[in-house]
Amino acid sequence: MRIIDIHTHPVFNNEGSSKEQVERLVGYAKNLGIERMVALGDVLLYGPTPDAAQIAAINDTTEKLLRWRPDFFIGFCYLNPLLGETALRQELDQRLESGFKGIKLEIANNARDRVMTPLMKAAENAKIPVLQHTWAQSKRLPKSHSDPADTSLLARRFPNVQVIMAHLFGFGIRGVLEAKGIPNLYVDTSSCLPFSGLVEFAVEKLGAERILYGSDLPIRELGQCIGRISGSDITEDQKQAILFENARQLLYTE
Amino acid sequence: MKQTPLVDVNVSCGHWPFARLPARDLPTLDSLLGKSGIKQALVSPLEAVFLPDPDVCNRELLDSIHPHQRLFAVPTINLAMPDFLENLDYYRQKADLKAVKLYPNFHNYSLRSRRLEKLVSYLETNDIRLIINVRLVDERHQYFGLKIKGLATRQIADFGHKYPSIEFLCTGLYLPEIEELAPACPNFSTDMSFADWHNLIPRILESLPADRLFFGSHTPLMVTEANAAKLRMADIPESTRRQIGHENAERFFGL
Repeated sequence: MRIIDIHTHPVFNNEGSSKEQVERLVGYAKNLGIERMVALGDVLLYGPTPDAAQIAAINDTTEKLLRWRPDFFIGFCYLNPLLGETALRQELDQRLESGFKGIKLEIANNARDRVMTPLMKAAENAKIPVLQHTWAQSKRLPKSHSDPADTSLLARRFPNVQVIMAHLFGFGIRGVLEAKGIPNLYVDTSSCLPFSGLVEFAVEKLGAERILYGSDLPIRELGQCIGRISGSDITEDQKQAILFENARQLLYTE
Repeated sequence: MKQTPLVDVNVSCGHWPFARLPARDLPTLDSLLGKSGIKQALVSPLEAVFLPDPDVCNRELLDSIHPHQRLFAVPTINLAMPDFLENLDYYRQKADLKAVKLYPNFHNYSLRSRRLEKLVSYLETNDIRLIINVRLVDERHQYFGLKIKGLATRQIADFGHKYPSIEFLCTGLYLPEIEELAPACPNFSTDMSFADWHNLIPRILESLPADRLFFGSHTPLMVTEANAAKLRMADIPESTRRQIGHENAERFFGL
């Protein structure tokens, strides 16, 4: 099967940044059928609210991967919306010139906050998707973590932007139901142990065309992430859509 | 993908109330495992974790498993029940018993319980292996009506030190827990159903010898093929893949 992994952190806490390590990862991934990997950045390296210099350093590392293996990595620009419109525009414009294809958001702020407006307008102008870290809210998580209700609201507010709600297992059954009826909202399958039934539930409620394969490498093992899709009780066409075709269309890759 | 035949040491059968599971009965489970290249599997009754006395589930499993030659029944023992040794006698009459399984946190006893002395003695005398389940689900996403923590590694390590002559298998450990227990507890082995990280198996083998790592799919709570792929896609020598995939289990359980 052909595979595009929409959710990876090839460099994580500064590990995996040497050319030798990157080449080893690419070789291993290609051996598993992974043709392209979206690199989202080493997003927790400086904590939840990195400053402009730290954001630039993280995106520099992603850009290095793109220079080394442009045939394999697709870069998403990591941004902190709290830094304001000028800072985010400056960073995003520079990275778009370098070939980045999307925006990655983590936990600096909640997806429903007003600071999202300039960022989403920039994404709409550039015609690029926004991938938002999402986890079902509990008392233990601060408000800056986006609940699936928050990310779904973001997608509703900006219907011309393709929003990717990350972490199927993190938002679970309720998150899938929150995502119903929002055509510009995708969910990714990243960051989970392979618990049964959730992929099938998402396909039933959202349709396979709204689901993107993601691993959250290196936090997850690639074999089990792929096996979670290939071993699910869905059709072969649905598996291929999730593993490859949906991401190919979203990212306009060959 | 390397199609090493697998022996699965972590399979359950029965109804789980918190998710739609694909294989709730033995025929479906048998078929699912066969399609995933699993040649033998150790199966415990899932509903037994919710019953104070799991004996009824054990007997149902033992009565119905005979047509399924791939499957070996592993009864669940609740040490809080006073008649567990009598029941073990019955199970041994019904089947060539390979192992029994404990769920200490579901049945609310400690691995420091004095009743373990009786159980360990019985198992050693009758050459039956012990499996200790650490968790069934990711605690972060348990149903709010059922919050049960994973078994503490300290309890497992203490158990291993108290009974150094018994080799035992844990199921459901996270990677950091395996790395913590590996040097501290030489008589402990583990499956890898809950362990997760890039390049997982080579990393586990940095701290745990390959003869103490077993394949377990945690079917049907987890997708069988996902955990199979974890082993089959691993960048390890074929001899190590065979060892983890089936040879360790064949030796340990006498299959």
